[in-house]
Amino acid sequence: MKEDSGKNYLSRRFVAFIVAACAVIAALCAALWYLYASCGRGLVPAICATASIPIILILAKLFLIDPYRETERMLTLFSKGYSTEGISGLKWQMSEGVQDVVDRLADILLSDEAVNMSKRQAQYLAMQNQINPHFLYNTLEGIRGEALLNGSDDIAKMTETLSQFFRYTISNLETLVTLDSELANVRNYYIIQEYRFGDRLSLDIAFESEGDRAALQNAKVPKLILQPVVENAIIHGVEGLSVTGHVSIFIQYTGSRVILTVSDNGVGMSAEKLRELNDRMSNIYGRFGVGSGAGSGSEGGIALANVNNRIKLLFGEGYGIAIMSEEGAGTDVEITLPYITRYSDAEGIGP
Amino acid sequence: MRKEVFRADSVTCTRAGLKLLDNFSLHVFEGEVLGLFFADNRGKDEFVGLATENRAIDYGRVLFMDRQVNSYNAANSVRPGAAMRIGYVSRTEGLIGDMTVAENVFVMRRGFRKYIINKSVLTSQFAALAEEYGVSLDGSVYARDLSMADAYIIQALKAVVDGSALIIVRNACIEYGDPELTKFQQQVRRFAERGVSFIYISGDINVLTGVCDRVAAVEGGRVIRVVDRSEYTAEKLRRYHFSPGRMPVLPEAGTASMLRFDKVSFGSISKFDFSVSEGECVLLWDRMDRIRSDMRSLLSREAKPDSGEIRVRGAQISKSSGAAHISYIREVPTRSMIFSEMSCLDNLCIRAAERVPSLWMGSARRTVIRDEYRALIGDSIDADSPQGLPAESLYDLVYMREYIYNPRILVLERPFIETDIGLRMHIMSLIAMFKQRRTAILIIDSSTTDSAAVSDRMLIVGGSGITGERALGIEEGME
Repeated sequence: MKEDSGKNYLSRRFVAFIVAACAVIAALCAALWYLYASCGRGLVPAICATASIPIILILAKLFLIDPYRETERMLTLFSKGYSTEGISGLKWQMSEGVQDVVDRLADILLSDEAVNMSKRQAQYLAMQNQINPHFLYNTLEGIRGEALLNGSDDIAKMTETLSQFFRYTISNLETLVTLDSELANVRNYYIIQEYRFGDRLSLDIAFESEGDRAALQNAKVPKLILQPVVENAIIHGVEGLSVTGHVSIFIQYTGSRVILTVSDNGVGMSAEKLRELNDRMSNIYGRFGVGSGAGSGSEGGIALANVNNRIKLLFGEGYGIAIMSEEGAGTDVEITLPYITRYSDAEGIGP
Repeated sequence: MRKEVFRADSVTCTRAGLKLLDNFSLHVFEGEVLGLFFADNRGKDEFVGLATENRAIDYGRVLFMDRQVNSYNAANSVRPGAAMRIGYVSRTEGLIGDMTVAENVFVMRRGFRKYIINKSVLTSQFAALAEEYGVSLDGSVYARDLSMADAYIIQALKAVVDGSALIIVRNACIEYGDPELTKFQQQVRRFAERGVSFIYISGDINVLTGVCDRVAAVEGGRVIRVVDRSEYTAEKLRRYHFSPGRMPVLPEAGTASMLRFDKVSFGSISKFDFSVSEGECVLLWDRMDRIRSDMRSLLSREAKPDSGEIRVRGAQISKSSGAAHISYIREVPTRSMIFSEMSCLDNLCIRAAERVPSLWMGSARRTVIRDEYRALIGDSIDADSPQGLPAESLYDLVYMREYIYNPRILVLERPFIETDIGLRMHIMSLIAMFKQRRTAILIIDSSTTDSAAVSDRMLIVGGSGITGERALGIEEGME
């Protein structure tokens, strides 16, 4: 732990300097008034010197103290893990040197390296490096062929679905995909899970209106944001149920935003766990798995944090994930994205 | 496509070290009625202040009509008050009673610059507006003569005329099941169909599910659940229902009359004739909420009745006697009956000092009080200031202060208003303590939902005085 070397803070020396300067001017004023009182001369200098104190204080407050406090507040928010956006565009910078350090820190946190360091991304890259996708697809196609020859249509269907799932997950390297393809991937994932759960699981995807469905046909969303959330809903919510688990995706469009709500009727989570999860979503250190903001976290929490992280890195802090849940009453995960139809639109939105 | 009217995104507000809004996220669509249920009352005032005054926030952002109007980054915020046209309907905002409805709507709004007011023009303008929004009211009626529902409707209409795209309704004090509430809520839906959005705040989940498209439950200063209309099931909402089966069992009342109103008339009070016995709890149900201030003036002896007599323990009430046996706890006492510049212990002793002036001389007697009441109030009794204490502790201070004073009669003015479920149970237990001591209790309330659960009898107040009386039991409290 660093020692408190507050006596070396320049801010304190700065304040002490202002106080000392005012004290000197006050002493000068007193001397001038004494001079005036004793020999009747020097009234104007005395008045000017006296008037200068409030003028200096007002100017100091407007041009030094208030800007300093605002910058200090933004730096404090950054150090507590609330925000990175504020420090990237500070209205008043402390000094050139300090700003260089802050900019460098922000670059490290917001760079492509940070995106690529998120665990799930690393996992997919590792899979891609270690597995020859064509070998995988050819093998699955072979299994499908054998299954069809033996009349096992169910196995053939599942193999085909698995192949499509892997093609989407591994092969496609784009950051943004259409909403339709993301939903198609979720449906494939559901079909695969249906083989395990049977009638105990249902999935429902609905748009608020047919007009929204048409308007969102070309909408672009980050790849692999829905399937991890649905997977989370199944594993942590629905799996423990003794009745049929329902997972639904409700899509709303506001003109400038796309809101995707993934709901389940599962076991929900306690208030404590919910708070921990939401805090991890909002804390920048938690999002990058750094320091005390990261927490120990369950795998489900890591998946959601990963999705949230990518959204915020791409589009800024105004978008991301919010989780609402109650123990025994299910969970809602609300994903807010900007409405864009081209990748270049995303560049205008981010931090 | 649904336009978003209001969005609070990860808003955090801290006051006196306590996070009142903690990562609070909410959005409202155009023409939507969104219910807000604050399970523990934390953050309610802060949220209303944020929406109506655009107060500074510690983190997050607020968007209105898709435009960012508030942000933790001061450089990205706009001037408070200039950004959002958000109306506010509540019991405290009110209308000007001596002006007509049309004058309240058109004259008392920003931007009105005329010096000469033509009443007939106003009335005809109001008629056209009322027809447009389906409001069946006469613009020439004085605001003081409006029913509660009509008053709220006019406040909402005034907000619409003022250009508000979003209106916050807070604790519209009309009881669930009352036709007045149905009338108000039907009007809210008519406004919503015309594209006006509402955030409806209430402590009664039944009130919210009757009118809202969605209900957001807030706990610990953050939204923990949003329930859509299609999901309004007992299972999803059971946690938010108040069950009178959990309230404490109250002892039976005695027969000695403590407080007697003998054909008393004063202001809105017309020939009140009733008595409250020792250990009895009587609810004076004033649906139109008209008699509170008059009752307060009479019982604190600031005014004398125009006719009739008020007797305390058989003797006529006066400022020196009678009134001294009465304790009066106003509505939301944590706002007006707590002295933030005094310590909690001093707050507790202030009333007892009226009987024992030497309480302020030395600390020995106050130390005895502190030790004796620590078990009831907890460690908050040692706090240097009541600021930042939870609501339960503040209510403890107010009620225990009167408990130490030991009045013969306790008068409670709307004791459950602006309280959440937990706090209501707590207040009921505090009332039960007075009943155990055989204190006569008179509750003046415009809602019976909670007050009836602690009362033995209910007196129904109408235009011509007390129009009815009902005996109450535990089961009756929920009707």
